Amino acid sequence: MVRIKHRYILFEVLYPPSNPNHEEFVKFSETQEDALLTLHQASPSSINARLIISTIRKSIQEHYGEHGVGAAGLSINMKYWSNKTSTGIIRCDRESFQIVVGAITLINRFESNPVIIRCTHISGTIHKCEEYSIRRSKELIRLINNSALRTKGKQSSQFLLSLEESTSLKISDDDRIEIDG
Amino acid sequence: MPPPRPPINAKKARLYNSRNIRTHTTDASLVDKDKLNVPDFLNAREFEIKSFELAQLNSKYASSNRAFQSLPRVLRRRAASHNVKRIPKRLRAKAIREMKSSMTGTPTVIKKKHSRGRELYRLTMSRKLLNLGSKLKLLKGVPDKEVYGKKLNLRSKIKALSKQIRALKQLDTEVKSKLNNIVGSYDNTGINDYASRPTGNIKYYKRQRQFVWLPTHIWHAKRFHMIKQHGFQIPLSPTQKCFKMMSRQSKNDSILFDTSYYTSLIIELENDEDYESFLLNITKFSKSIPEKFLNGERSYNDWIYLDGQKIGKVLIFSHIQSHKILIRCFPSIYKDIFDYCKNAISNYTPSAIHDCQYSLGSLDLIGPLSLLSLSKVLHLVDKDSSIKKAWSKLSTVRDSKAIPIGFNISFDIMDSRLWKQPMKIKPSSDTNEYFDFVSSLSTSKLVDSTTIENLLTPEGRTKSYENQMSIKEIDREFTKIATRENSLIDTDIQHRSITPILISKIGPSSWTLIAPWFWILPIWSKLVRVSQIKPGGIRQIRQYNFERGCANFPNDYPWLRDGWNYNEALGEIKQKKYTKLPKRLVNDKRPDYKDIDIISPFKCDWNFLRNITFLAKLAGKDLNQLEINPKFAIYEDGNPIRELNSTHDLKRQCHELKSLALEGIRKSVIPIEIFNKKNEFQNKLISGDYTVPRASEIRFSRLPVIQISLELIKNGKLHDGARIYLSKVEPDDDVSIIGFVTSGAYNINLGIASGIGLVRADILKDSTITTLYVRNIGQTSIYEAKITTIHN
Repeated sequence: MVRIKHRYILFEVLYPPSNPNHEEFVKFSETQEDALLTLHQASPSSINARLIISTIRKSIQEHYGEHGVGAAGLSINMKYWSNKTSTGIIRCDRESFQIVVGAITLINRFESNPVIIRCTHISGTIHKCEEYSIRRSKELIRLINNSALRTKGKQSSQFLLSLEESTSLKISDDDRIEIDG
Repeated sequence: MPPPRPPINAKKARLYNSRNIRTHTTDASLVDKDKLNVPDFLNAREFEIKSFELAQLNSKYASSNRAFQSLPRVLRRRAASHNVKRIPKRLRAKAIREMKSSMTGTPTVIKKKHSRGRELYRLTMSRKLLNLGSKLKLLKGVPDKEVYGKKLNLRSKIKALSKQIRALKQLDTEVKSKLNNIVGSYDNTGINDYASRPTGNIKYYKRQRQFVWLPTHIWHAKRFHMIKQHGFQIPLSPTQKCFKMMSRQSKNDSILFDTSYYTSLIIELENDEDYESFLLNITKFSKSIPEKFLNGERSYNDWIYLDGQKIGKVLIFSHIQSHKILIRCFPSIYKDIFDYCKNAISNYTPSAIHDCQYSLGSLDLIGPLSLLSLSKVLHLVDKDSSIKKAWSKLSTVRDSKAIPIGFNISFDIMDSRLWKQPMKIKPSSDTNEYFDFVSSLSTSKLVDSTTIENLLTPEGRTKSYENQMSIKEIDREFTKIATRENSLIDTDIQHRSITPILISKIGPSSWTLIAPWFWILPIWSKLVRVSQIKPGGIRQIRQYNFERGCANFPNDYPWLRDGWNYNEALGEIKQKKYTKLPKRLVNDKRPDYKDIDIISPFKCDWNFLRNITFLAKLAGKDLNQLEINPKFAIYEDGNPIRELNSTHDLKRQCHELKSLALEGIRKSVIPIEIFNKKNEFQNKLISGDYTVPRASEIRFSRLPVIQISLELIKNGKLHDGARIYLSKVEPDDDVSIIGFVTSGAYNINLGIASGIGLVRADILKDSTITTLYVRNIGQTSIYEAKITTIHN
């Protein structure tokens, strides 16, 4: 009995500052916290699962042609998409996942928003993608916390500490993974 | 695509919910591209994490799961679905419920048949016998020999035991109990003679008549395949599949073996000169013995020489202060060593030899975490000594090369069962201390004299068994203290047993722990609960050696008597199997071997190799000068032995020699011998000075060989018995064989097939050869392999 195997791609949509306004760039590069928050913004509500899938298909057609669409385009499925955190999980065939990843990275904009789509994890089971995403979120929270503690001062840091206690998120050394600063 | 409508059925609803991951709803009031402030951002992330975890939990329990399906692979048992006893206790209630609700399951309570009549009588009588046996043990008595024999029937045995018990109970001062404990531990040493077979528990005596049980036998019998060899029942391999797991364990954690079947003997020599001269006789040292070896700081892990002949690799521990030498060896060569030593020391007085086969047991550990795991279970008596400090530092050393082979450490430990869980020793974070310690290893003396005295004398061992606590007693003590407490060490138990042990490094990453026989089981029972340890059997030792390119005793040593017998036996078995196969399987499993009467396709035919080499020398011609297909054989006038002009002649003459060998008056010798530089005959042979006098003398000559380790260069298969050639030849060319592969298989460490083999010394003596060619038995493809010599 042959099992059809898939690949689950965890990706996130990043919003780099693109305004010709000089101020935004300055603000973006001020602190680590600012940079992270700008990049990992919430997506506007116009971006939904269906739009992303169609954009990916268009991108495949543009860069990989008809053959690419035939091989990879039809088997793409959106398993999870969250607007607030701009992260999602896509499922595709095992043979064509490289086409999909390539096409995703070549996407420049979503309907007038310049974006960078970044594939952070590929795995054979959705379970492992979820686990990785959990670790990554925890690391992001830790980075933001540290940065906020350094710059904002006592007020917001106290709020952050209380938030941590209430959510009982334990960030241990094992959960550390590399995130761009 | 709009989300699919959720189904109505509860089960399906559960399944649907598990497949759906909830997301944080998007707020319509959220302005486009608004930079989140920190609390909103954190909230959003936190919600996502929670929803992922929830989704995982849902999917885990979505599919219907029976009790045994939720267990990991190693705990699952076949037919656990209808036999509830095969499921761990914590899941049994659930399994019983499932069974009751299912139609096909058999009821859990199977009514046991009640035996009647003669059967019932027999059962009650044997139960009575066992009861009497345990009563006797509680009175610290050992049952008489006649109880174990065959002559008495059940009734008479019961009578004899009852009589003994009555005598002991009367508290006669003349009738002294032989034991000093209630668990039945005693020291079974043979003084100046072989030790008598241990009898063990009355319940299991019958099974131990021919093959003695190791102290941990019952533990192994439940989890391992056992084999009967060398008079012991030895664990072969765990019942579960563990090939890759053991390969990983030996590289990252550690594997534990019960090697109490390794027999040991102790020699006592009071006179120091006699001591040293005896050691010079049996070890490789020729002029003087190193000081460290005499002191007991380092042990000797090499060949033992009996009458100048190498017999096998042994462990020799010498302690000149107590005038004792401990020799520990593989059981198949034990008899030779014991007889030889007994004769050798009879010239020296005063001297004694103790047979400690059944009084000293040992545990072997391999892997980088061996000492760490040991340190979790062994608790030293003397807490403040330098040895204790050295031991705690030693257990943190993971680099196997930091500690030299032969390194010894010995100390007294308390009963390991007084601690419920393994206890970690806190490592010191000072790296300077670590380096100081490692550099001081070469000079420090970590062998306690009193411990060695206690370990190597029967009186010392018997003293260690005094008031040894049974499991029942220990459990009783544990119930008295609080459940949180891990150990009984702070309570006032009547007696604290002290066990002398010796730990020695015997290989690049292997350690052995030597302790009195009846203390092995308590240490073992606690050691297997350490998470970094997995117990293994003989097959795992062989796998470990093979993966590192080391030779295994006995199959890779065919020039020794044990290796020769082993390989001959294997060949015979294969031949019998081959002849038994029916003719209809001729092409697949029963291939038509060519020249089956000249070179045997079932084993490494060393006789053939020796015959061919010496016949070629007799012919005086080089092998490539011979014709291949002659038209006829030439016989000199009157000479019944044909002239050797072609390879065909060689082969036929070989065949003649083979049949001659079977009917000789003088016993034929093992045809091969390991290459020894100092051997004159071998040197002459190799340089070509030696000439063979007669063909019939060939069967008493020995061909020198060198042991090599092979590794295939490209993909290919290597099996036992593969033929080794110097250059790429036709597959049916048997005459140009220069050696055989004694053990070959796929090596998971290297990712390519590898093996150990033996090659003619005259060809390999010039060390410029780095590659040879191999061909498996019955195959035509020839593979290239790179070789390295193993020095023996």
